[in-house]
Amino acid sequence: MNGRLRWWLLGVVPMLFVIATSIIPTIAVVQRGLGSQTTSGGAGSATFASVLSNPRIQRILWESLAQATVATGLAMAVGIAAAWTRVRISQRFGGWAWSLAALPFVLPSVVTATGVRAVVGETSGWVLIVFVHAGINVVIVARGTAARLGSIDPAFEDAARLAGRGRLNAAWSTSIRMSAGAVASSSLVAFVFCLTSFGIVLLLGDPTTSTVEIEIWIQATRLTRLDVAAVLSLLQLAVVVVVMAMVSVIQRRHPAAVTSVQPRRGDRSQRLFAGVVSTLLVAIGLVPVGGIAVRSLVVGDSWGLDHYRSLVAQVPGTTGASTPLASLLTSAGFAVVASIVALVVGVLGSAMVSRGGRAGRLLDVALFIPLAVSSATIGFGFLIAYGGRVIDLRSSWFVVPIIEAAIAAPLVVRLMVPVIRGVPTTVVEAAAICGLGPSARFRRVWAPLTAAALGSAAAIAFAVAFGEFGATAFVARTANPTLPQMIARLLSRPGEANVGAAMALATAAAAVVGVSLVVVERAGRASALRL
Amino acid sequence: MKPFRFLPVVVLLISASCGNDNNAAPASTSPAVTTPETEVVLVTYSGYVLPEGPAKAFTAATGITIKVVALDDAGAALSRAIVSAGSPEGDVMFGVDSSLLTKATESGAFDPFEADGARGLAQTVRLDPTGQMTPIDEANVCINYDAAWFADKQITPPSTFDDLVDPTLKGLTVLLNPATSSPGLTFVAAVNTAKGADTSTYFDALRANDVSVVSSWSDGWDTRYTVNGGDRPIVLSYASSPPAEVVYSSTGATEPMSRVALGTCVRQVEFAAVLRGAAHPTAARRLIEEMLSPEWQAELPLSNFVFPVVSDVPLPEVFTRFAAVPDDPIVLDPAVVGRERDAWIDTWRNTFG
Repeated sequence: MNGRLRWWLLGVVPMLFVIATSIIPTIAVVQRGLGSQTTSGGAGSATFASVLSNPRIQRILWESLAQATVATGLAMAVGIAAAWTRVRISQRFGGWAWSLAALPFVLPSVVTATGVRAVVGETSGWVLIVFVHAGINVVIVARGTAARLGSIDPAFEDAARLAGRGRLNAAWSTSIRMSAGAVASSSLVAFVFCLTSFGIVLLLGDPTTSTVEIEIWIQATRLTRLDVAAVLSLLQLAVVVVVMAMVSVIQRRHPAAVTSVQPRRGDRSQRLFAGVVSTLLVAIGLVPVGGIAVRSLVVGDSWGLDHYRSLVAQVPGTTGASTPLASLLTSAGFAVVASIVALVVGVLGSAMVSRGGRAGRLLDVALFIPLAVSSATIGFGFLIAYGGRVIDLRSSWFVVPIIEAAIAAPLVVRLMVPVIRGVPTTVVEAAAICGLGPSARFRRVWAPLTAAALGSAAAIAFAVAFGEFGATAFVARTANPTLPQMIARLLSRPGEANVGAAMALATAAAAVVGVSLVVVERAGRASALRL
Repeated sequence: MKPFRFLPVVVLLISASCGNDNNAAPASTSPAVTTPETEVVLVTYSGYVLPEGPAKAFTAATGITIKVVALDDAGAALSRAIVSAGSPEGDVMFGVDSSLLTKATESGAFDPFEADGARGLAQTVRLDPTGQMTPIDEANVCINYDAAWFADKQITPPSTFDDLVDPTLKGLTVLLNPATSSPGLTFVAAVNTAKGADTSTYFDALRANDVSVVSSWSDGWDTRYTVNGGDRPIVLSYASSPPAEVVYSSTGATEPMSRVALGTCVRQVEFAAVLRGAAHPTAARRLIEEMLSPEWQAELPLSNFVFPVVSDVPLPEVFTRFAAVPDDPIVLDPAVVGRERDAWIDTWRNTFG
């Protein structure tokens, strides 16, 4: 009983965290929208039926699902190929390509969107959005697949080749099919990210490309139709919770292993394939970053560092000390606090989830709720729920890191759970037999085996918190804008100076995030348990 | 042990619902102010520029510092004010315009206030019978076009709404989404006011004429407009955009490249109001009075490119030379706009997505 109670307590903190950051704001929006109050504007209260029977809403629902599905399909194609290449073929710079492919995901969505804009110019629309979503989520499918693929003996493929199958068929029918669980769960996670994406659709779309997230945002924050926003929010929440429940079930049945096989040089056409895939990964990583870097150095008709100098100049029309550089430091500070909170919540949560059991599975799904609830609902809900006379947290600086931590914690859990589960219990038991107590076992067994993953999780948490745009846009105080807000603000002002400053700031942000990610990533490679 | 497990959850839920008491009786009588207020928080939209000189003079004279909190566009700022009615994030809200007027006044988020300076204003700007909104400036939302482009291509530029659906102007126009842009909403309200039941047909014709719709004014003006390097020579903007071009020109131009289609102009008045439950109500009222002072009003043209509402305020030369002044702009009836706004936006969105 004592041991079980301890495990339950582990889950309390993450659960309270999810309730406070996502469920209470959602309840606030639902209560305001669908409760007895009618919304201002005199149009009356909508119901589920009236909202869902609107043809435009139906089109938006269909288009949201369709774009997410197509983008996930593309991400799967590239991601599976990248995972196989990474695990099977040794390439000299394969590690760099692998790390670079993660950039679009970890960079702030505003930065990625701005970089894509810098490269493609003014086109907008579904095709662009789908490709960008795919590029961002390749890393999710790739790493999720590689975690499983890396423990499958290549002898299966060799046997299939000997039996007469072609290279593609051999790989597909053996290794990849055996990793089906990892492919499925990581693809479903990628699907959720594509579906709930806000920044990319907002910045690279136009009024004809509306997803549920964007529609909720418009209905809540522009039209003050909290009833319609509440209905759509609940719908999206339901869909994502169902998908995440599927992921949880799949991951439970297909735990990742921690052993890995050595990649080989491969024959000529395999090396060619690997080269193509790696080039694609490098392109995915460098296109947004290259776009903003190049554009930030263009001053008038020639090159120059003027835009970087303007990073420390005050943005006209704002009061207070809001220079672009200040927003970068503000975001970094918030992100550090948010990472700490996310790591605490995430580690506690992943410890409980990896323990198994019904409570663990419930927590696994519950922790994903902050990502399932629309950004606008969280942001606006925060204002409503915590902005009253009894509790007024709106002007507290802590609100931004808390929301960022809520978004980052599920990713920490996703990263840590497979690693924790993968620690062989035989090793832990052997340590116990050797006489090590619980804290010594933690220090000598658990910590070293999970440290690399924890470092990686910390870097990801920092990056995600740093770049959060959407929910924090509603709660951040404009006296201290976050970096994504500052970039969006600069881009909305006229003149090349402002666009240039936005590009320079975006490049600086990419440098901060990119460096932290690559450093942690390369350092973690030392451990044999990392891929 | 079991009931205690849920205690933290219950406490949180109770305190959250306690926090949501925006229906509480309005604190219309503030307690006697014994300490003078030294700060006033001005909530507005992100394109707003505070006139520096008058603001500094105000602080020097009263000891009150003005803090600007800028939130997206006017519609978003108003939504936030409505949602936090009774416990606002600032003291004064600036930016409610004619198309949002009744949404603001019916929301209960503002306190009535009649400024001394507002008594002498023309009836055309005193649009709020409830006394909550004080007019500060006015502007005209109009279609702008690139005169040089049209002269070059030998095409007749537009001057009325109907010209925009003319086949000779196919694929040349950029309009703004009324759901995300305040001038966009004003334009849609103007079309509905002018065309009534024919509006839906007009929108279909606009769509057939390959009109492009963007989310915000700057997406249109800075990005898509040919004057600023874009691909379309007709854009929705303001009658005061030509002088703004000259002022902001990076090439030292002395003449604007844009002209205004006077038949498409609709008058827009911008208001300031005291937020109900403001922390600094006295300072809020003083700021609004100050905004109607001749010094502040004289700064409005060059800071925000709008016209002052107080008469006999001198205008800068670039304004008198280049700002278009329509003789007969469309005038919105705030009560009608209030009733029909949601339906008008829906009609637009059903046509344009």
